[in-house]
Amino acid sequence: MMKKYKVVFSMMTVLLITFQSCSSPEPRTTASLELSIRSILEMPTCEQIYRDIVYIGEEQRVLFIKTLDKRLLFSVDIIIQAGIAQTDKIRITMKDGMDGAKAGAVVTIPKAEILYADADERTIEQYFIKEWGGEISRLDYYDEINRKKEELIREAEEGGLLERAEVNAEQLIRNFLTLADVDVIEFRKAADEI
Amino acid sequence: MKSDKRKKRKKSFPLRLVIVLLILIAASVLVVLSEDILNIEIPNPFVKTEKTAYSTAILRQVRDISRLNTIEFIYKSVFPWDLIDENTDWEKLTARYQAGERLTAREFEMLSVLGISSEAGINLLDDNYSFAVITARIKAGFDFSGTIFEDPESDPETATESVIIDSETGIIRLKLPPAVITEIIIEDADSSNYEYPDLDISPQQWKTLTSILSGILEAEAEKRKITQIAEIRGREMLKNLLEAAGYSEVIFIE
Repeated sequence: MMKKYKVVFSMMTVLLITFQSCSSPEPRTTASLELSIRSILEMPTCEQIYRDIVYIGEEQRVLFIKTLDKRLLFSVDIIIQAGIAQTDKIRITMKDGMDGAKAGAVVTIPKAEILYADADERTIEQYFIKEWGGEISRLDYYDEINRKKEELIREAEEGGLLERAEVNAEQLIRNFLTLADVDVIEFRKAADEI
Repeated sequence: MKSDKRKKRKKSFPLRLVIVLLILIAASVLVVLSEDILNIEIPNPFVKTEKTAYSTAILRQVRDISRLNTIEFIYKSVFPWDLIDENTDWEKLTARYQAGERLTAREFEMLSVLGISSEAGINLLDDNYSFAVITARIKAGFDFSGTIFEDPESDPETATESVIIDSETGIIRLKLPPAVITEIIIEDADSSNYEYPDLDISPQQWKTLTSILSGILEAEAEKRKITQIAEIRGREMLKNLLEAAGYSEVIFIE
């Protein structure tokens, strides 16, 4: 009989320890600030600004009794910026002009790409908020903003944002070289050189 | 004999009950573990939850810009702890505010942080462990918008003064606009990679918080002279381009 109770007691102890390990982990805390200065060379040349109107709602009922009612409506601008990401890959090759004409530059530039897509917090306009039985958290609405951003990037690319950014970059470089009395014969994409 | 058997049955009954209970507890533990490890949600028939998330966006503006960013300052901040001065006497500060005393701009900022923290459920007057980790990027470089580099025909006189070419020596003298902070980007939090506990804060409160933080970060970036570093890097890049275009020397004039 004693042996049986010892077995039962051991099982209970094991189960209690298992329960303890099932409990929620302690929240993480930051150990130190990260601060860094990074060298970049990028040439932003075009932005598309979208006005995003966001609605978040959550309702919970326990046996037909409402226990949670959260609603939020606000708008925010989302900026999609494009340009040349690696300006250090811009190359200039001088070519002699035909029949004694002045030498001109062949400029090789990388393709334009999306530099960033970000919600501009300064433009937030909150229309209403209801928090009954619980509070709205930052990730509740940022997850929706992030989902929309992916859609807007695709839309911006399909709408010709990258082509426009490339044209603007070429024009800026051409202006620079024109001021320096250098004629531009041709622009080439960096991939064409391979 | 029969009474002995009955006694044995009575004694074994509580033991059987305990074993059954332990099996049920073990089963519950397995269910909880399955939810966590296998990410299976066991529906609760008594609780009904309805979530809605919807957004619609319209293109408001297409903007052509002419910038050259040459440096990025990345700053990770812990709200609210990075925004407050360590030795602040909150009770004294709030008492002074309520008494109508004159406060400095920094003290008003601190009171704003106290207010927003309180609304976000972080009471700085008591011990509290809530926080949000915010990553911000500050970029610096040249903004050529509205200058002759964006449109050489816009101001021929300035163009002549800003670009001086000596064809004989192959020297070009160039006057660039001053390097500035071109972007301040507060990174958008994402539950797929934000592993810290979430913060209960409305979009309006978040806007105020990020506005205060942006001002502080801009001042921090300027203290670290990032615009000067940006200018040096930008000049170096343009010098290389012009030398490749045939100039023997590139001199930058103030």
